[in-house]
Amino acid sequence: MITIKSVSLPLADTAIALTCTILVLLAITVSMFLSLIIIRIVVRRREVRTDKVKESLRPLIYELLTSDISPEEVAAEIAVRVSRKEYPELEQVMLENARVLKGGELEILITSFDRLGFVDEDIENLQKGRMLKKAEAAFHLGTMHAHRAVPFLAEALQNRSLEVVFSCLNSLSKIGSPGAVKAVVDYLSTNPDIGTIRVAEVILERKQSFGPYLLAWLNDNEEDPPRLTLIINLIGAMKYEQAVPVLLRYLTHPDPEVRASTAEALGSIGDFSACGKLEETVDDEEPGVRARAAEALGKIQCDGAVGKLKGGLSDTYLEVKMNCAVALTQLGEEGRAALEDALSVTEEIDRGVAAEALQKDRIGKEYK
Amino acid sequence: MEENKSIVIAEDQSDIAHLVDYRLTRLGYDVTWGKNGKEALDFIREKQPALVILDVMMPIMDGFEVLRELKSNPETEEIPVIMLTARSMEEDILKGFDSGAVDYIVKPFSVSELAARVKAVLDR
Repeated sequence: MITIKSVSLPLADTAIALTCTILVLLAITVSMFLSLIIIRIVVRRREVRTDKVKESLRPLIYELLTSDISPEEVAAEIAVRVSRKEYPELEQVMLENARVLKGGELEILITSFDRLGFVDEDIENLQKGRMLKKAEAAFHLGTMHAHRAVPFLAEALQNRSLEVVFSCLNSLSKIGSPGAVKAVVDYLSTNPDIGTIRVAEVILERKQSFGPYLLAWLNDNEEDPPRLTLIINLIGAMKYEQAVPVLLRYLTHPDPEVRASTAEALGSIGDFSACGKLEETVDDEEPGVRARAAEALGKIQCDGAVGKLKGGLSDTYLEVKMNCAVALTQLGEEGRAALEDALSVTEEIDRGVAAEALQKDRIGKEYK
Repeated sequence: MEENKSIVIAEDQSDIAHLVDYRLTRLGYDVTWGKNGKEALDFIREKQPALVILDVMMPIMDGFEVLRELKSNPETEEIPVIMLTARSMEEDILKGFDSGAVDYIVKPFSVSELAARVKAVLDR
């Protein structure tokens, strides 16, 4: 049998042990503190050096950007006048300028990024770097408008990190070539969960360059309904007027989601030429489509649609009734008179809808 | 009388301010940079520049506030102002013109174009 005996140290030994422990802990704390100070000093010195190099490079870049020589000659001039070890700072200065410049000055930078090897370096970082390096490289490639990086950015959309994915989407939409737009739309239509405000902002920010590509896509008769719905939603959010004639065709598409999105997009764009077809769509077999068409007629303020919308107040679906009533309040005196008439309708629910819409309209006017 | 070549630029982004400063200084203008609306306003009152380049989105005081302040003061109301901003919304442009700006440049921009517009305004 084993017996455990407690052993008590003399008081002096305990005090020595305690003092040693405190000293060791103190030494660890002091050394950690000193290490942090050293790291801070090193980082600060590096920052100061970087700022100094950037400051010395800026006049050269400004001078070359506003000179009369060709982009190729500018790139050659930079290669001669800047040493390789200053290339990281050079890239930063060039990126700073690429973010705010356009036209011939931006063309000079785009050519220089490629000629000086920055595009290749960032493509390599995008493929082989760690997560943050990949995201940074993707962001740079967009700022550089590097068209030949599109396949690599599209491939990197499969990355598990959302930082990398958003960076790639941002850059692809900034590059804005047909291939880049296709990669963005393909990705968004197969990843509906990611249809966040952030992505929408990225897309819409570049609406001018995206519009024609999305329109061409519609003209090519895209067949996949989810992708089609996404394209139509984007066109609507962009209020891209040139798409109206093509969009009208999709009001009779076999997929109800596509028809509903089309009606909504036409309402957002607000072009009167859509009124006739939208009136016909108020008779669609799907209630969701009828509701969107009624809403669009109100938004566009299609004056001739009063009769059709008044008829919609007797629809069997509440959403359709409600949207028809709200649309009528947007069609001036004639629309409101039609709603007042509807208050005398015997069906209680129709009276309720009409009364609610008129009430909201009154409150809205008083508020204004 | 000596020609007034002084220009004040109100811009919180240093890269843009450096670029515009470099270009306009090379063209012979005397450029002063205010990092926010308040600082720029102080420089404008002190220097009475020939022209002001005003960013819209700035800390402390935005470009529209500075513009209103300039136009409400008899000492500064005649100074022409070019608005420089990333906001390309039509209502912002109209707001700028309504408040008394003489021109409007949307970012991203061409620095050569900006320089040409500065010259055009000062030649008027």
